[in-house]
Amino acid sequence: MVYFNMLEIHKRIVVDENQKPVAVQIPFDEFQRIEEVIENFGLAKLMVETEDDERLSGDAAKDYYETLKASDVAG
Amino acid sequence: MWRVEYTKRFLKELASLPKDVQQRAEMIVFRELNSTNPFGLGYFEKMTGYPEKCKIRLGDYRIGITMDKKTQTIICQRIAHRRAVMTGEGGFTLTPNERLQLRYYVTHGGFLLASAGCSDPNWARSFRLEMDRIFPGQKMKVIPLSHAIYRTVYNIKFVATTHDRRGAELEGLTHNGKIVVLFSRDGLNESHAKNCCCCGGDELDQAEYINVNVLAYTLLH
Repeated sequence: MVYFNMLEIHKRIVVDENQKPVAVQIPFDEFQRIEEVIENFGLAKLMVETEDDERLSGDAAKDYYETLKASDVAG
Repeated sequence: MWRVEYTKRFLKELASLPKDVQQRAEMIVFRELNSTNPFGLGYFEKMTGYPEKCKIRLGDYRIGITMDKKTQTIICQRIAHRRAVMTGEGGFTLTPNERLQLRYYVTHGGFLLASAGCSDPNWARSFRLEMDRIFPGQKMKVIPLSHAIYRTVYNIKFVATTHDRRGAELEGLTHNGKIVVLFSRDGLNESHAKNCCCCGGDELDQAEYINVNVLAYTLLH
């Protein structure tokens, strides 16, 4: 099961002359935590896409990889 | 002893990396992870909320790994780049080598977000010229408001500049069906600070929301 702890965000809302909210400022460390959550979410999604991908190990992986590198250089 | 496996997608992504990053990544995934105690290397960082998944930081790249405890297998699944941002004011030109590197970057998994600081027309003109040189025959196209990039986190129904409220557009260049360059002739740096902007420029309103959407979109696609 995937779950998240609630992220406490100390935000300061910037308003225009009509008191309409136009921007939010948050502490840098909280920004970094949000960035981390987004990064992990995106990376996990990319990983899920390869759940059924064929996997190689040892020499088979290295041989396949060298073939890819050679074709990439050629291309 | 733990065994290391690699998805074919991972190996393809690794083979496409710039040489300097590629060499460092090869050392880690082919040699160091196969050592007697890969967990003592200090590379693995747990991904909170995702059991058995962790990542390795490699400069601006992240290696996504699954630890299969049952079979004692370390599975290298993906390697992905974080994002690049270009902005500035005034005209500019890139060197031939910079053009080559930028083309390589965006056609090998990278993403470039570019906007003219203070909506400076000279910078925007230079950027368009450089895109024409880097991608001859390809034109950046307007991204319609129906595109997912306007809805990935925030629902953005219109794009306008802060002061004049004139309509604005985001443009994109695609590669293999995916947006790899996103450009705005109007600045995406609007801070809404008092007496800003220093040059009186008319940047995009909701820039912060657009940037969040772009970041999330590029992570998900």
